Amino acid sequence: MDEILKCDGVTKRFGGLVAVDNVSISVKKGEFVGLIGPNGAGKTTLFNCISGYYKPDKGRIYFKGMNVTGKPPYVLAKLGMGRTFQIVKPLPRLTVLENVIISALLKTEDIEDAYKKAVDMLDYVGLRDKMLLPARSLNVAEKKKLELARALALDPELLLLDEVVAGLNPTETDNMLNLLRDIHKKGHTIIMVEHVMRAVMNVSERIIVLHHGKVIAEGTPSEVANNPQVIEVYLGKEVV
Amino acid sequence: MIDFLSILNAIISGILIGSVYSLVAMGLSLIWGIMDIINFAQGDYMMLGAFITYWMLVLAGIDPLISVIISFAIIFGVGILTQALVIDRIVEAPFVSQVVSTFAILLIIRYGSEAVFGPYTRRVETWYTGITYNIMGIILPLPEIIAFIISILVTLILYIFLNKTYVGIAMQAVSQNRDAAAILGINIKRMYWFAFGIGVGITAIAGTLLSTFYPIYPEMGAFFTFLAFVIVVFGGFGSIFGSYVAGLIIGISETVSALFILPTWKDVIAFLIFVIIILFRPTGLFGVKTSS
Amino acid sequence: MMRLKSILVEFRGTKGYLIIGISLVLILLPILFMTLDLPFPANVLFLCLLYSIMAMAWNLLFGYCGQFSLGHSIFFGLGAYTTMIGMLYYNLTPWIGIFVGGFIAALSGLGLGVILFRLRSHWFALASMAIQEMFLLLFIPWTWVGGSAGLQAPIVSPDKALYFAQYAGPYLYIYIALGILAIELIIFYIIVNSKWGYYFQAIREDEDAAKSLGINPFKYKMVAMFFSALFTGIAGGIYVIRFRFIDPFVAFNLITIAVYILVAAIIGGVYSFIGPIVGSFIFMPITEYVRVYIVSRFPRYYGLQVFSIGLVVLIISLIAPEGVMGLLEKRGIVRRRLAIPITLSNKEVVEGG
Repeated sequence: MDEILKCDGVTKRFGGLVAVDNVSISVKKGEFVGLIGPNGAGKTTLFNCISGYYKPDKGRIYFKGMNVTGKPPYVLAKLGMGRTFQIVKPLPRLTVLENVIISALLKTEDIEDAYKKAVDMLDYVGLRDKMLLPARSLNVAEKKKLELARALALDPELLLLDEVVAGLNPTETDNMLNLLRDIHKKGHTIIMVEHVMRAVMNVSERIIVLHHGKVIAEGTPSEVANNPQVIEVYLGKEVV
Repeated sequence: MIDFLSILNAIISGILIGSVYSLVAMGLSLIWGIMDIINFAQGDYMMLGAFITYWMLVLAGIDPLISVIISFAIIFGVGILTQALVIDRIVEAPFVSQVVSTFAILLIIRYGSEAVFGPYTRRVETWYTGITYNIMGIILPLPEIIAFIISILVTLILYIFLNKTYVGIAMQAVSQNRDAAAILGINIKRMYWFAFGIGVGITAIAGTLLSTFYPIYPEMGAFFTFLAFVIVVFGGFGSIFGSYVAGLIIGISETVSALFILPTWKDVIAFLIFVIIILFRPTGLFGVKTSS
Repeated sequence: MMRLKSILVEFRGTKGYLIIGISLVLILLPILFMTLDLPFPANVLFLCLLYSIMAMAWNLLFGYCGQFSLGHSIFFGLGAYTTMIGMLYYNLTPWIGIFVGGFIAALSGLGLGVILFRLRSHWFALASMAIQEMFLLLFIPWTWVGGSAGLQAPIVSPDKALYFAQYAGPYLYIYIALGILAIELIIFYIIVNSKWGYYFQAIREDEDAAKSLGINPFKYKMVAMFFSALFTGIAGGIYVIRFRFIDPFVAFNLITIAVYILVAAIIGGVYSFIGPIVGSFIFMPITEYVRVYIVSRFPRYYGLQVFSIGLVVLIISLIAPEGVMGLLEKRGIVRRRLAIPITLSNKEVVEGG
């Protein structure tokens, strides 16, 4: 199966507002796709539909060839979909280590194994020295790394990253991007929602642009950057 | 036996009693709406109001109609005290702390009163106790009529207060969007004091009114708190005055159903309706912090 | 066996000695009381243990899983009535009856969960409270269960005493409560230190985040509810064994059961494994001593025993919101056991692993 994710005519309404409007996209295994668009374009809503937090009003979602439309997040996690959240959601009172152990427990019943995996993941993202601190005591960048470590501990095939560099300073951003590049090299498929242009343009292979819930452009970063419609949509906004 | 007249009397009786329930419910709704706190002890403040009225009458000969204001004032003060000492600290706290603290207050007020007053049932006897008018078969007990009139008056005053005074409008602002209200320069803490004080003060008025036609005892709060919950949930959260109307409806349903059903079933049905509403009600304004 | 050995390893040192010491005390106290003819302290001890069982059970659902139930008397009451009815109508020995009662309570818990677990904290609490009141109101007119007068187990002849768990004085009942508490502690200890326990906590911390980690919140809430209701129901049965009487007002009492057990858990500390036990042992003696030494001598002051608990709770909620154990944790006297493999200590994790 070359295509890992497919959205077919996905529509999501909230009352009278159409947040996602007939969106059809296809992502191949191993791709690094950036999902951009101005505020309110529907990016996070689309993510929530894909990852099972919302049920689309219309359309279908296929993951690894299976119809997963409307399936809850925990089913998708088991199938191999991991995600991070725009507003980070650590398990606050639990330690960093425990956060990741819980995640690792998805794929193993043995706490010993989960523990080892968790330590590896935390090593990988660089949070090893903060392992025993309560998750709520971390700063934003560290929390984002924790989200990443947690998602990775699920052994996912597809990673949905929601604004994972938002709020990070340039150094932290570069740090995170290098991590993502490495994760991508290891074979994970990544879809990244992002506002920080510098980040997403530099690291994605392909970009999808949403506006008012519709897909208005798709292509390589340079193609999209030179697309007149995209430029118009972003006119007046900072393109870093 | 059950004819039109009985039903009419039941409806009227329901409205009269319901008007008193409504006051308790409005107080609860006010506190819930503005501070997002579920005051489990609401009915116990009502009990305090009732007892203040009793002691005023028995010790100083003050008629309940006058002590209404006194009991409001005292409980308003008690409310602010509770607010300052306890509630202030838990407004931002997780739900659990709120429940624990309000339950603690409940235990202190209810059982403290019982320990002080004694576990006895008392009755308030005034010149209008027991006077009932009978107009063409329609039964109109005087104490309840007076209670109804005062209840309407209080509601009107509340309405004017909330909509025509600065403090009132400010309180509404806080209930809708606390942060915006704060930015506008509204002293949130002061608003909370007022909200809680008025919320329990109104309940105390209900207690005073109730005492004129209903026996009072220290543990009576339980029943009325729960009734207030049912009313607030039933009446919807959007409007405090929705609670008032809901209170009348609940009062009516109580008295009318008493004609047809055994008393215990009536209460069971009330609880059942409560649970059903909770399960199926649409998300309202208050107490809703949706995750993601 | 490997696992058992590694669990035992956890208890070497101070912790192990403390447990052995306390267990010895609890085993010897009833004998002491019996010898010295002190029924009142014995009764207090019994109640402390009974409430410990219930508070721990309640806290599995709340402290670990985040679901705040105000309706746990439902389970207590069902367990109590089942045991009593078993004894009276079916000649069923309460030694089995309490477990039957526990299972019936557990099943009702599952039923409750199916209906109510979609609700968030406020509403779950209120709805569970309302349903509990419904049980009270439904049992009052129900003649088969004795109506408002309740059911009384008659005194049986000595040859049937063992079968019906009937003993003179309050002393031997303490061992029954102690035994159940011990079983509960072992089972709960295994649960909370397993994948289940960690999943419970994830749900408590952030249900949506938990979902993203592959956790089905409903499923695990039901598991927690099962064990929570089970032991609360068993406790109801134990109550009947001891007091030989049950009525709806005792069984489905909001204040003396539902509120008391949550108060016990909160005083002790909900985020601690033994917090509920600590809380029960603090609050039960207070309320019982006030009740017996003041209120029963001066019935005029009825209510004082509950008032004093209200005061204690208020103080705790203001100065030590995480209970006594929370306070001890802050001062570094105790440390929360992390969700790490049972074979490792916190120290080892930091140093190597």
